[in-house]
Amino acid sequence: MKINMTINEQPTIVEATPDERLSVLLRKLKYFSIKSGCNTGFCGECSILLDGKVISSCIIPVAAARNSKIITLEYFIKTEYGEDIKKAFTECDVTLCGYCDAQKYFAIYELLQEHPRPTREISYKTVSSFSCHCIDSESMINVINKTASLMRSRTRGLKYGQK
Amino acid sequence: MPPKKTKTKNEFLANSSSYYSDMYDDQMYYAAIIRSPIDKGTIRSIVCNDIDENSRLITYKDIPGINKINFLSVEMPILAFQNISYIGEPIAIVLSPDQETAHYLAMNADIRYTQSFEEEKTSAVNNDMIMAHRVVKYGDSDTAFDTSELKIEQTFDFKLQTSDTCIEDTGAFVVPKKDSLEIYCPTNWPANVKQCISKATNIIPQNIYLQRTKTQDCSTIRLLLTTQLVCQAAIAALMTNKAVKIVLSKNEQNNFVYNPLRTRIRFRSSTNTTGVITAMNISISMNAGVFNPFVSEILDRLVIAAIGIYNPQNFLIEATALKSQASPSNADFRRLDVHIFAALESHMQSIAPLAGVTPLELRIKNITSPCADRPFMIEISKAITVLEAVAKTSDFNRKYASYYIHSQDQLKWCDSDKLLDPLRGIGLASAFNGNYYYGSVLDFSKQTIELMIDIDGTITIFSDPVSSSIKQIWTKIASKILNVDEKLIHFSQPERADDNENVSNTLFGNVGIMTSLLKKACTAIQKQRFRQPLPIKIKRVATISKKNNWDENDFTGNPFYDTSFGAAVMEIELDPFTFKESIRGVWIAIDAGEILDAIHAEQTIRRSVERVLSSLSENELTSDNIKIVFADSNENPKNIHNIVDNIIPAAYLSAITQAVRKPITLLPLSSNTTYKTGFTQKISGENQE
Repeated sequence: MKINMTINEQPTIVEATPDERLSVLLRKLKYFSIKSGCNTGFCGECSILLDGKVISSCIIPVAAARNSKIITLEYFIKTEYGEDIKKAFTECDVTLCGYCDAQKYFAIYELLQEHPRPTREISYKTVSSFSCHCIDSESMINVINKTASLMRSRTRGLKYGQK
Repeated sequence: MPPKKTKTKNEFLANSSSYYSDMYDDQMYYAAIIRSPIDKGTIRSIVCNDIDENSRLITYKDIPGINKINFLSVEMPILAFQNISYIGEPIAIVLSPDQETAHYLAMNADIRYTQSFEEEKTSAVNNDMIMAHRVVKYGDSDTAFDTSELKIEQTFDFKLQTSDTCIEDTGAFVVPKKDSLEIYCPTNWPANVKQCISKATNIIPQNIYLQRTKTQDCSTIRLLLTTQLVCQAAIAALMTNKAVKIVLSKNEQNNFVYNPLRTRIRFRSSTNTTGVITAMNISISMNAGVFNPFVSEILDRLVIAAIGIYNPQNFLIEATALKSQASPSNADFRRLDVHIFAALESHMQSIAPLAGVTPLELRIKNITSPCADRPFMIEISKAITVLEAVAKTSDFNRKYASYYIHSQDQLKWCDSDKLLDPLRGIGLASAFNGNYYYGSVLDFSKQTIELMIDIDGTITIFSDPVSSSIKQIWTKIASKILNVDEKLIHFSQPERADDNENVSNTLFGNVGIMTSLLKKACTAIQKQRFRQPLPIKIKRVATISKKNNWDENDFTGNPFYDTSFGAAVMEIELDPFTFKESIRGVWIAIDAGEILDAIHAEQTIRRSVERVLSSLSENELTSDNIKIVFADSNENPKNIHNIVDNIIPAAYLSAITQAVRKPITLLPLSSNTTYKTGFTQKISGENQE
């Protein structure tokens, strides 16, 4: 079956069975930021943005993504938000394992969309749900705070640290 | 054609292209395993009914070389057909250009077989079932029991998950070349993989290029299964002359990789009226599955850790590993003794109220009690300091006494079914973490590090992959000694000249030895850099000899190259309605020699605590209140990663036990088990499962 979707701003027609997992299809299309984690939607290692919402692509059938806009980490990392998060990871001296990148990048993005100035409790609630323990919670909270700060500075048109 | 790693897409983040599962070739096959439906017997035929011209079936008949993998003392077939050993043993592989199709064909294969039935199944253990056995005796514990008034007996059942479940599935990627093979797999023992492939494919080891990809865990079963999977993929690649990727499905991962070691540990102890343990009898039973090349090492490590750092006046440790018609069980190399510490420390906590002392007092008394001529000895110089530090920072004694009184009061409420207050408990645990066990079946006798300074001033450290925190520590050390900018220091894997190399260093906590070697190499480079033309390459080797240290047969001496020590306190609260536990705090004190980078060390410990907590309960266990202290020391740095694995489960069990007022002897726990154990009936560890 031919299915229309927009992947990373590129209109695409994919050949797939309707009940195929979206994560499997995207990996076939060589978007390897989507990892095969738990396949139950729990771990978030296959996270993508589907029409602007963070979802686990392993529990979405391809048919449900028809005519949708999909953003994978490969594209997201080049956006302003992605760059802010990446910069925050670098500045906080935190290196991810490479398997949970999508989970952590999109979780931070989702959190900061909802809470641009997250409290420690809100941040902790997000990071404590991470299934991959390659980074400790305190370091992740630091990254979230740094990202929030970078995003606020950017949206105000100021460089980070500039008053 | 070499495998594509799609640099533009994959290398956008650190580590993101380090996984074999992200490698591909345009004309590749996916392999799926057909598994035996019987646990004993012979496979007569395998037919894939829905197979098309694009797919292929490969059986033992297609193996050009020897259908056997030699892994230490264990021999196992690459694809079995006779003498099936367990349900799920690989018997064939199906290849298809599509991964789902390959798995579908494998699942729906028509398998004809002749099943063997055992004539008589008895529950009694016979000699054929014993894979390993060890008895260590000190003094006369039976006589001490008879004369003692205070006695306690507990049986623990553990089935702890060894690693995170959301990690890369086990597998490999193989690319055939003209007369050679390129292998990409997450193995910790490349030399063994090469040898096995060579025997199976008749390709000489020199023509097998093996690239280690990122490994996320160091479990025994991964080491074994990766070798088997690589051999299967290599045979398929040779047969088809196409690249082959073999990846276990989620079901296979659950059944054959996340198959935790099951242990039953029985403690029987007696104490005198002051709290000194007069006798301790420990019986350890372990289900090792159908084969396990590491069974003797696991068993010996359990025996060594069975009395911890305590000095009971008499003890008897009897450990047995049993064979069963089940797939090999799994243990993590870096925490082989986690089960025994969980049982021992929980048992110590149960002894304390009997003897009328606090858990801290009990431990100190039994660490300091004299014990000459013990067969094996673990010397921890700062054990009492560490225990006192963790008790002080957590206010352990006060909380323990309060919760003890509180639980006595609650007994009355419980009887009248009016339990409204949260149930609280606090647990103390201590454990050592032995690094480089001299009796290991794996050879790690030579530890090597290479350092090179190039013409442009860049420094390259050649070592097996290490964690990011160790990288940062080493970068700082090299930068300081050589007086260069940290940005000029890079890491690379060593070039292996011979195929008889040791097993990977990453399987062991070798930070102490390697850091010491790095310092030596930096000093040597610093001496030469202004006298000799660049580039200069320096190699430093440490040889670890077990001579004079450890007698494996008599089980005497010092079993480890170095030992770190830690203690933890965990405070827990149980919801009186749902019996869900929440952690009020975790306090940890560690003696791990000199701490080179306190911030990263703390992050490492915190990360380990979070990982271990996630494996202890079916409920989500997290803690936002983790306090860590390190003992001051000038000794060489020691491994701190795995100490947490040994202390946290024990502290958790002890805390839950105090909260529900009855011994909890099962891990992992669920709310249902906690409720049943504490408030309905007394059930044994066996029945709880």
